[in-house]
Amino acid sequence: SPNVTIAPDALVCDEATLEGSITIGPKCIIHPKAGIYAKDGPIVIGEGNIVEEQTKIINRNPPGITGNTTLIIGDNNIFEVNSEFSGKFIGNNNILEAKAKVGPNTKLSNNCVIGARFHINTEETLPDNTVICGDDYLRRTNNDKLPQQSQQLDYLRRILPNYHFLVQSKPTT
Amino acid sequence: MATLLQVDRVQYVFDSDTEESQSLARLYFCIYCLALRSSDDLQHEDDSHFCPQTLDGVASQEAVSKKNKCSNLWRCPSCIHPLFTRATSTLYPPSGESSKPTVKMVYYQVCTFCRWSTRCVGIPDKEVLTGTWAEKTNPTLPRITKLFEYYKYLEQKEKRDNARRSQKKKDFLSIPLQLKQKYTSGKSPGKKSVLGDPLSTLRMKEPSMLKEVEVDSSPTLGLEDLEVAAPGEQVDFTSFSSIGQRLDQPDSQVVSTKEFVPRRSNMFLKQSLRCKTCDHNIIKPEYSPTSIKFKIHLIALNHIPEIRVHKACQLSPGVQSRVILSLCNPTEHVIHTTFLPLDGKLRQPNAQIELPKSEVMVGKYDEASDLLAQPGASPDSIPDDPSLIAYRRGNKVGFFVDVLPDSGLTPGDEIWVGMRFKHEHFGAASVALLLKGEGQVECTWLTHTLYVNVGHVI
Repeated sequence: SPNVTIAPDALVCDEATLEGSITIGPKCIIHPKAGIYAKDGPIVIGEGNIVEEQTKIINRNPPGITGNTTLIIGDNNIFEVNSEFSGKFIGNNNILEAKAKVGPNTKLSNNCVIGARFHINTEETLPDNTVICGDDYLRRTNNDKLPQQSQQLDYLRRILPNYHFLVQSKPTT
Repeated sequence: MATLLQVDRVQYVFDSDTEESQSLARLYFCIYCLALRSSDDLQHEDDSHFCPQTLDGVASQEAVSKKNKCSNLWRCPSCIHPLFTRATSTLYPPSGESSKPTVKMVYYQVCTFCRWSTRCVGIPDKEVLTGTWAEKTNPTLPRITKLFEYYKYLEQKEKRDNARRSQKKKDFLSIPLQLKQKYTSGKSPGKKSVLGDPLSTLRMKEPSMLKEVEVDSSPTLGLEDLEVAAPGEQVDFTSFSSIGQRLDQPDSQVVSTKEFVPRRSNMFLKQSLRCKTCDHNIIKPEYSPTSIKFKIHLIALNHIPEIRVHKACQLSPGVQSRVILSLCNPTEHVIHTTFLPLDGKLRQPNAQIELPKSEVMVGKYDEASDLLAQPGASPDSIPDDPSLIAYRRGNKVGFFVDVLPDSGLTPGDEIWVGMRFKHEHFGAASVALLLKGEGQVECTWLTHTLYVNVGHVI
């Protein structure tokens, strides 16, 4: 797509779906079969994010709201397999675990963890260090730092090109 | 296939007096009494204690002294998952002798599910891998020890009273014994008197020696003791533990999440089951915690033919419908089954059933035949009656029954039919032994009563 801008050292697999105006920051890794859809405005992805298989990132307006606003995704976030994010803002170092789903009303700040198979669409901004997990969707404030994903990023950067075609980044004009 | 996991739709009666029934998958079969047994009919015996994660096995006495807690595994206080030890290297500032900073490995516990870690609550990291984490002492421990003391006192008191009550009798019996001991050449060593030691009552503690233990009644909290939040104050729910978390650790019942500490994981138990009637073992697991095998494993599914609803159909009150039931033979012998009407009086099914009038033959279970995808034929190569047999596949046969639900049923009601069925049982001798001529064919006929839920009224 002509509207997609990929940073030179980002790694985007050819089988990923990118629709609309999307900017992918440096050191990001987009797995095959991940989908990024800029429907109601552009999507800007920061640095060092991992978007795993079958993940959907959608810029979608909450019901009843129109307009063209940008979805901003911060740095070092992880979208695990089959997770879905259709909110309007996400900060840094967040983790969406497998099959987690964040609706268009919710915003994530920093260091938040959305547990596996947890669906949230409440009208709020989750405070920093919030962890939600378990059957009862218990919330907890995490006082510990989340582990760094630099090792995983390096590993994927080494392995993925061996088995997948990559989208070549265009020189920015 | 729709009824594959609905094992409760067919209930086998295991107690003919009370007509209690259960699914065959949950029953045991005693090959000595030749009867179905439920878990409640069997004697449960503790075999071995083990930790499911670290696979440490401990003796029963040790498990009691450790309060059934594993010494190496810790559980997350925030959720029920086991904690994992994570190692990181930390840079220590230079100490007095060396000018370079030292790198040391430190260990802490982390929950991989909810991401709780000992660092969350400020517990310092350990420098050794097998370091133990301080558990909270139970605040009610003094009261518990006091209660223990009190119960011991009561036990002693009861023993003493019993002894005093039978004092006269014992005195009377002990006179000839004492005389015998005095005037005979001496009793044989190691042989205890049948009547007991006549001096034992004297050795019992005197009433004055027993310590009186006073126990206070437990304090009760009133409504006025509860903390009341100021009006308009925002309550931070993340700083309080949930009711589930508190009940999960009943001894400490931590209120603030900042006071969470790792707790020891509970150990699991391997049980063996014994028939109360004949004292034979029904279930006997292997002792080793790493093994999941059984030495004796007499579950009903391995011995009794299983009847299931093969295909549910639409049933309406007062209209006769045809239902296919399947019969599966788990044994290595061809068996013949006959269906009989119900004779129970306690439970009345709400539908009439017309059962097959002739005998139904079921092929034997053959592991090799599972691999061959050929349609099964009748075991004695007599063609099946197509009005009776729906299909035949190896050790499984499907047969037709006609069900007539009572006319008074309303939509949504479950339709239950009842029947008895009689089948051959060939004892424990396997076919391989029988072919060698070593085993003996002991054929007995067993009759089971069962109730089948054939579906709902549409």
